[in-house]
Amino acid sequence: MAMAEIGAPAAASRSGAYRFALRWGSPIFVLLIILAWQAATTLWQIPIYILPKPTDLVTGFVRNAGMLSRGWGITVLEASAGFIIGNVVSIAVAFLVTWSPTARAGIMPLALAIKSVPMVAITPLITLMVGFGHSTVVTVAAVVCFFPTLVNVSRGLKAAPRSQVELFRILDANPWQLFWKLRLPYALPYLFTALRITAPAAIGGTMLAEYVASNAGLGYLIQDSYTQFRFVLVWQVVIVATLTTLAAYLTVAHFERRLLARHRK
Amino acid sequence: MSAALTLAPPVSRRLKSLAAILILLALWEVAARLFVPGVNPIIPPPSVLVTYVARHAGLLLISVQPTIVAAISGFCIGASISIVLAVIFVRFPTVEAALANSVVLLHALPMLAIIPLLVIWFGIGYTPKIIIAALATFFPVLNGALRGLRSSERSTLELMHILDAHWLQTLTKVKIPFALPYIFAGLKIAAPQAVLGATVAEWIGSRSGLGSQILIALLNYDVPLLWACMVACALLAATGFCLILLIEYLVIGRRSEPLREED
Repeated sequence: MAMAEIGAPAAASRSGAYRFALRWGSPIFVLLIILAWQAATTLWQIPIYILPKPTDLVTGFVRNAGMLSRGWGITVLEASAGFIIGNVVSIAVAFLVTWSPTARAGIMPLALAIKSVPMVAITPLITLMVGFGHSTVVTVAAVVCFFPTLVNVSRGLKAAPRSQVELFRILDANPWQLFWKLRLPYALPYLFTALRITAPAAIGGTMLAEYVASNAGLGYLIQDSYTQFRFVLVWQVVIVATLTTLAAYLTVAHFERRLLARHRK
Repeated sequence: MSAALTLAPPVSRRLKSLAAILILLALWEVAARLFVPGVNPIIPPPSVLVTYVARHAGLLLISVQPTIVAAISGFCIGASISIVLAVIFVRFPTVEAALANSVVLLHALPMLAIIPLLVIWFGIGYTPKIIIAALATFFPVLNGALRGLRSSERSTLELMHILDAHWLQTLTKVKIPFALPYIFAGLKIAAPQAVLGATVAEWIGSRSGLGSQILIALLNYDVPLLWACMVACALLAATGFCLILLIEYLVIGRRSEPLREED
């Protein structure tokens, strides 16, 4: 979830067509797809299990609203808990690793080794260790958040340029001032990069864990509705999950812009 | 003499990390035997795992093979599509502007959620896995390729302009060579992702492969099998990464700077 490059040359090419496309391209595109979808499903009478009509999905939303909102609430709660725990622990470890070379030598290789094991393989193992239920889901979400934040924050804590650190030393700044006035502002962009990656990832991890290790939440709802052949519900969960992931990303990006703008002043 | 001196540090460092791994394994062995007793412990000692893998090598090979096939085909498809798309985006910025947000929206689709839909459309088998692996490959490579295609030296581009080069010539002679390190950086992120995507897809959309074997192991409480699958999964991801590293070395002759996590 970090498409830094897409739509990047916005400032460079300022032609009217370009700006129009950037502003309206996606809404028009999405609208066209929905219209074509509706037309095709109506015209060729595609069965609902292959592709439900958009109107079916909308009307079904009312009927399934209870299930969807309950699942959504649980997923959001679990993902938030995992997001907070994972990031807090990870930031603490990043501090430890930055200040103690011994800890760095001990922790970082292990962390990188665990990081290289795909989440799909770790989730069942966590399920066996922690047990079926919410705690497993939160643990998985926390583990998903842990590594990107560790890598980015430990890099960010060393991002302050040497010359400025030396300037602070010459001015006899105490360690607290050095951290608060210099290291933290330099580390913040890195922290937010990590948060921008981990916020959507936490939701993905939560759903993954819910799929195998829980009987609640959107991930479980996917499994449940799919095995019961309730395909309209599957589609609705896909839509809800996508929008939630997007919202998580945009929220972090919004805070990032506001906070970093204030810091630059 | 000087050569020996310069060579000495990496070798000793490698020995050190090897020693660290061995010590870690020994600690694990002792700790597992002491603290996690029982017939079927959740954390088995490494020796048990090794004997298990040796005894069940055939089963593991059978389950690894479909995952490899799906991951590699998905990876190739996803990488080709994203590189072509990146070229189109760089050639026609308006197209990129029009599609940018839709691509990000596509990126927000949770993989797990689209697998059931793919299974409904294409049935249980290779197609859903390959599509998911391709999707997982798509975004890192597109990102790397876009950044790379925009990273050509300005003076070189201006020279091509003065020489009245066709845009295709500029592309093949300047932009793609400049983009290669970035493309490879994207591919290196994507290779483990493709393995991950194929494995998740096998949870739902397959009766064969590492992913379904993991689920079977979980449901049967077959802990050594679960661990073996986990290690196999990690090894596959690492092998994919190393393979791209090797190809990169063969193509551009050196290692590129890795793209940072945020890319």
